[in-house]
Amino acid sequence: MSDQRSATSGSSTTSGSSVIAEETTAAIVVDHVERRFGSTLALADTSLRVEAGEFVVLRGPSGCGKSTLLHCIAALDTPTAGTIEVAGRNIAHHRSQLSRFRRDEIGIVFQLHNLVPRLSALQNVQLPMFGTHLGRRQRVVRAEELLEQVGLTATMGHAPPEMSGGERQRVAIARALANHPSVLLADEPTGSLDDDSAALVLALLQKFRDESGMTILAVSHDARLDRAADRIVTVGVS
Amino acid sequence: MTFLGLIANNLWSRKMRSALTAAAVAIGVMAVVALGVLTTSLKETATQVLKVGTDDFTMAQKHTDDILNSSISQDDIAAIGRVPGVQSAVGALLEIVSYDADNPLIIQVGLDPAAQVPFGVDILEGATYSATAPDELMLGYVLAKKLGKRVGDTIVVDTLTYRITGLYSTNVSFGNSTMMAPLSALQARNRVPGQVSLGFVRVVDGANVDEVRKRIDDSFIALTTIASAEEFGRADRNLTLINAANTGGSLLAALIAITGVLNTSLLSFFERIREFGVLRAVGWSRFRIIWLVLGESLIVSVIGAAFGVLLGWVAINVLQHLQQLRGVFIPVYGSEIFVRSLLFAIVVAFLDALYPAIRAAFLSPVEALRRE
Repeated sequence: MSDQRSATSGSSTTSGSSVIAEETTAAIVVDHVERRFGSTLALADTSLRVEAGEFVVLRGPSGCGKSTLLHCIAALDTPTAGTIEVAGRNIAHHRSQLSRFRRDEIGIVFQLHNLVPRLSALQNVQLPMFGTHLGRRQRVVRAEELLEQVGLTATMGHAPPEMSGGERQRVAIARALANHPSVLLADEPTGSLDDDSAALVLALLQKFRDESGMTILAVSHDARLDRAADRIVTVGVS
Repeated sequence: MTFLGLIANNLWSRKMRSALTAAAVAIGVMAVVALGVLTTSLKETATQVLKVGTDDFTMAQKHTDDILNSSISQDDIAAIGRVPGVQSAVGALLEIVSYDADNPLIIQVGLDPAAQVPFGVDILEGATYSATAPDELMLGYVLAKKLGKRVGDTIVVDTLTYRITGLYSTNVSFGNSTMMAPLSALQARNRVPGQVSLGFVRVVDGANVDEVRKRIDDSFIALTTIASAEEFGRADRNLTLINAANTGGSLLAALIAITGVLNTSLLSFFERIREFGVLRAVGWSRFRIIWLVLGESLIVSVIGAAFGVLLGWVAINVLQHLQQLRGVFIPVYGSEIFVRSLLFAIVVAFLDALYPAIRAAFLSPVEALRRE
């Protein structure tokens, strides 16, 4: 894995298979993680360290395991080898509380937004808040607040099929931020968007990172994301 | 949006699927209700013969195919009357007679005039029949009113003409809907001299009924004592068959409903795999997903059950007017029928949703999200 500093980068270095000493607080520490599906190696021995508040873009050729790595960090998938720490917690040690971990620590944005099509934008954003201490009214207020922040006040009653691609992705971002996660993971967040929509999504990601100090790790082939990133890490290169 | 609101939203947004699922439950519940009411009503009709006279318990021959075919000798009745603790034992010959299409089944009680008082008969109008008169009878006052007959009128029953000598009531309501004729005349006509169908036994005040029953059961091994409709099956195999038919029919209805609902539940599950993956990805616990699926199924099933009860009521009304069941099937709506329907719906909901719910909860989020 190689490290290409972006224009704004100033953070620590990540190298092939070791994690370099930590003077700052790490939000994500991936240590020698490997993922196999039977005999197929989906993610080769990978290590990565992302500091709290960093905006890192993961890049690499198709099939190199970028999304797999993202899924492992989000505790949606389990590595075959290695360890992953998020916000100081080793995911493997919290197998019984992964749902809570995903809900409280991680926000995730998918390329295809993955909204529930028959629920309105407002209802979609409320989904991660079920099971938290928030009551019904508080969930609605928080969802309205987030949709307002992503500029969708007028369309919060609309269902995803009634929205444009850019609007759907903004709903997905609002949903990912519902529980004030410390880490936002994004899988090709601008991949299917036109320039204007992509610019809007990027601006939002930067804004939320700047306001909350949230860590962002995005998988992307999209060069438009480079401008916003602190650091670009290429997966699959030793 | 509450969790219940989300469930309602999910159901409402797939109206056709929800309606089909509810319809499958409704059909099952309709069958359960109709069969249940039919069975209960037929049992009630069948056990009415136990309620024609006053007693603490009834005696019948064991294991007859029909309790009306029970045969007890009058000598045995007399011997039962001498068992310690027995105050009176009255033998009565019962047969079913037909009057007209609206009254195809009327119980005719052959009773000696001397046994009328211990049997609980109170003559309201006219007088009793003679002990041996072949063409005299009395009518229970409810039956007389229903048939529009009065004392002194004649009545043709099964091609035989009788003169009505009196109207009576008994201490039990069903007895008021019977007709009563001399025992010896009925025995002669049925060619069963010295035989009765049932014995109606009263115990002396303060005696323990169960102990007296045990004494009789131990002494008269070919006979059985019956104190309730539930015990009726000891003497009447038809009742056992009716119960078996009801159980079998209900199980069949359950199977049909479960299969129908499972079909739509599984289709729904496969359509929503990606959605379950999303829910898991945004932090939903397995338990919450199981509750979501079970909750949706439960609500649809309860709605289906409500419609099923309504359909059952319609079916019962249709059955009631069938020529073959007129006068025999008098619907009895017991609360247990509705409790059973609700339980049926809950069981169907649970069984049908459990598998998809567990599958949904244990899906790999990544694999689920890859689904198109």
